[in-house]
Amino acid sequence: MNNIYENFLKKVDFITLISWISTVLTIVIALFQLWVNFKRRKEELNKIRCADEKAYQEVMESSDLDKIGKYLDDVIGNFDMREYAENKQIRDTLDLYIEKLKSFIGTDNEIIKSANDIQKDVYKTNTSDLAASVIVRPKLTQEFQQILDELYSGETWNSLAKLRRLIEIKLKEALLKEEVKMDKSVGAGQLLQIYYKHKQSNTKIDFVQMKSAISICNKAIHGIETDIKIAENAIFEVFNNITNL
Amino acid sequence: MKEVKVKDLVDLTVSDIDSCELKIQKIFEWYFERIKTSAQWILGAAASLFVALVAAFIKGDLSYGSKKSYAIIALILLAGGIGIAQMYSLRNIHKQFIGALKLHSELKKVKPFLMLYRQRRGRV
Repeated sequence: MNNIYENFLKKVDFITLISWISTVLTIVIALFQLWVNFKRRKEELNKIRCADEKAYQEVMESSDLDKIGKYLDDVIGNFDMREYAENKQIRDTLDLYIEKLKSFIGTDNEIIKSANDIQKDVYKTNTSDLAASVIVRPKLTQEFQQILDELYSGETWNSLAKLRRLIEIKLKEALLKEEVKMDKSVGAGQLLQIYYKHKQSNTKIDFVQMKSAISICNKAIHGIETDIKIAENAIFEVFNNITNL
Repeated sequence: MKEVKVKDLVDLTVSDIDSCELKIQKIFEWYFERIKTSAQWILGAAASLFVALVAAFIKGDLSYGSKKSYAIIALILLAGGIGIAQMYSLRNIHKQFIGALKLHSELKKVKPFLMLYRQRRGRV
C-alpha cells in the first residue's frame, strides 16, 4: 500500500494533484448545475401544462371563490420570478391570466367610476335606488332560486358572481337571437349597453336597474362587502327584467 | 435564495406592510449582492491562477505541455466559465426584480378580492 502511495507521489507532484482535484470538483459542480437546470425546465413544463387556458377559463366561469382562490395560489402562484424573467411562454401566460383576472374582478378605479355613473343615472332618470326600493318578488325559476339560496347560506360572493354570469348568458342569448355580432369576451355591463343600443326604447327592461344590479355584482366580486338586502333586491330585480328579454 | 413566487407577491400585497416595493427591492438587492460576491471570488481565483501560470512559464518553473500545466489551465478555464456564467445570471436578477414590481402593481389593483379569498383560505 505504501509503495503504491510513494509511486503515485513520485509521478504526480502536489500542485498537479490539487489542480486536478479542483478541476474534477469544478466539473462536478458544473454537471450538478446542468442537472438542476434540467430539473427546473421539467418543472416549468409541468407548471405550464397545469396552467392551460381552458382550465383557467373553467375556473373563472365556475363563479366559486374557493376554486378561483385555490387556482390562484396553487397554479398561478406557483410560478416564480426566475421563470417569469427567463421563459417567454410563462411570462405571456402569467400576463394574460393576470389581465383576465383584473377584467373579471375589476380594478378599484373601475368600481368607483361605475358606482358614480349609477348615482348619476338614478338622479337623471328619477329611478329608485336598489338599496331603498321595494321590489316585486315573484316565484323564481330554479337557476335564480339557487343563486338566492347561495346568498342566504352566506356565500354572497359566489351568489353575485353567478348572478352576473347568468346576466351575461341571458343577454348573449338574446343578442344572438337578434343576430347582433359581439366580441366573445365582453362582460355583463357592455352586453347590457349593446342590448340597449340595439333595442333603443323598444324594450321593457329597466336599463338603470339592470345597470345598478350589475354594479352591485361587480362590487361584491371586487371584494367589497355587500349588504344581503341589497344583494337580494338585485337578484329579484334581475329576474324581473330578464323575463322581459 | 429560495425563488420569489407569485404566491409570495400575493402575500405581500395583502399584508399590511407599508412599502412593499421597498421590501421587494431589498430581497433582490440581497440576492444580487450574494451572487455578485460569489462570482467575484471565483473570477478572482481564476485570474490569480492565470497570473501564477504565466509567471511560472516565464520563469521556467513550468513547461508548456506538462501534466501540471494542463491541470492548471483546465482549472482556470472552468472556474472562469462558472464565474462568467454567474455574472451573466446577474442580468436576470434585474429582470426578475422588474417582473416582480410589475406583477405586484397589477395585483394591487385587485387587492380587496385577494384579501377576501385569503381570509377564506385562512391565510391572512
